[in-house]
Amino acid sequence: MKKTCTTYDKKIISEFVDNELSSEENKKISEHIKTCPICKNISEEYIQMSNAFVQRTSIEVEKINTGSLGENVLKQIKRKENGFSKKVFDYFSPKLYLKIASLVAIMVVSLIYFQAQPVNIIGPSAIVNSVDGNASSIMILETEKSKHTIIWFSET
Amino acid sequence: MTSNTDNIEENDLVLRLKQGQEWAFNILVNKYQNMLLKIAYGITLDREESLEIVQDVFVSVYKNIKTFRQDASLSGWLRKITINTCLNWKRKWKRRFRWSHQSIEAKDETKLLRGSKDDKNPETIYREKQFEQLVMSNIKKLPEKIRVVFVLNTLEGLSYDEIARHLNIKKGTVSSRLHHARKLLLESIKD
Repeated sequence: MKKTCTTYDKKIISEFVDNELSSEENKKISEHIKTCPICKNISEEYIQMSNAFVQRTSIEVEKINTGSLGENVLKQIKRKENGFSKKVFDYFSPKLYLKIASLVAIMVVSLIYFQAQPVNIIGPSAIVNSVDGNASSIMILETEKSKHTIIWFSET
Repeated sequence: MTSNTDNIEENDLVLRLKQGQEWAFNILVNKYQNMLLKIAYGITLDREESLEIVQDVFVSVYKNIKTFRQDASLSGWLRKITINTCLNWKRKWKRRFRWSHQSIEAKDETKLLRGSKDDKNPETIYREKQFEQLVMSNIKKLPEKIRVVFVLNTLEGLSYDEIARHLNIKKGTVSSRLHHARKLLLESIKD
């Protein structure tokens, strides 16, 4: 006995079973199935598999105890909400507040300390000599630590 | 008429949910728990996991109801969240090597016949039950993408267009996946 139908493939039968074909195609396959035992058998097997799946799933789902589902969900939500508000509360708790305050205090003291220190600007400490002419100006400077002499020349 | 009433009820429910009314949430759970459990069970094939997934779905709904824009139906939105939760759940368990276990009872039932609907004697009932178990154990072997499409089509009765919209895939892909699911199931049952 041949196992495949030469007129229609199994994908078309699958779409037929799902009622996804146009009414014209649907009619053609309905007629075909009456005379083709292969396609008839395939469509029946497809339907039986779906029915078995639906049936078994319903039975299994009925066994699930959903009595306290809503209650459990609300408990879970409240637990999460409390967890969140606790975190927020903890963030501003006295302990943490003190930590933040001490950190800020350290920062302020450091800032004041560093601002009080003289700013160490690298550069000349004094002008040794300067000459201003009509065409140019010369300035002789000396660095503070290394005592390097800098001659600055500018054309006016 | 009924669909309009349903819609008004749904709008009202969503509004109350957005206002954070606890009793509205209980109504939501009672109304949709069965539908969501079926989808979750169809994908996970595990009762405990299905219950935990649906619980997570409702928690997620509670947290995100304000973002629900109502351009889709509430059931569609819930269905989408459930599918995503199931798939994430599955990935999580896959990492823990717990997902692809085989049920012991499924192993020796590969040569069973189906009984006819007209003849419901104890033997037929037994055969039907065995066939159901055989189908379930083989559905477990279907690749994830194919199984989700099969679940939405079979358990939810969604059209190819609706499935395509839900999963953001083409209608032709839905048809191919369903055909593939049936082909694989039939082959494995007949082996």
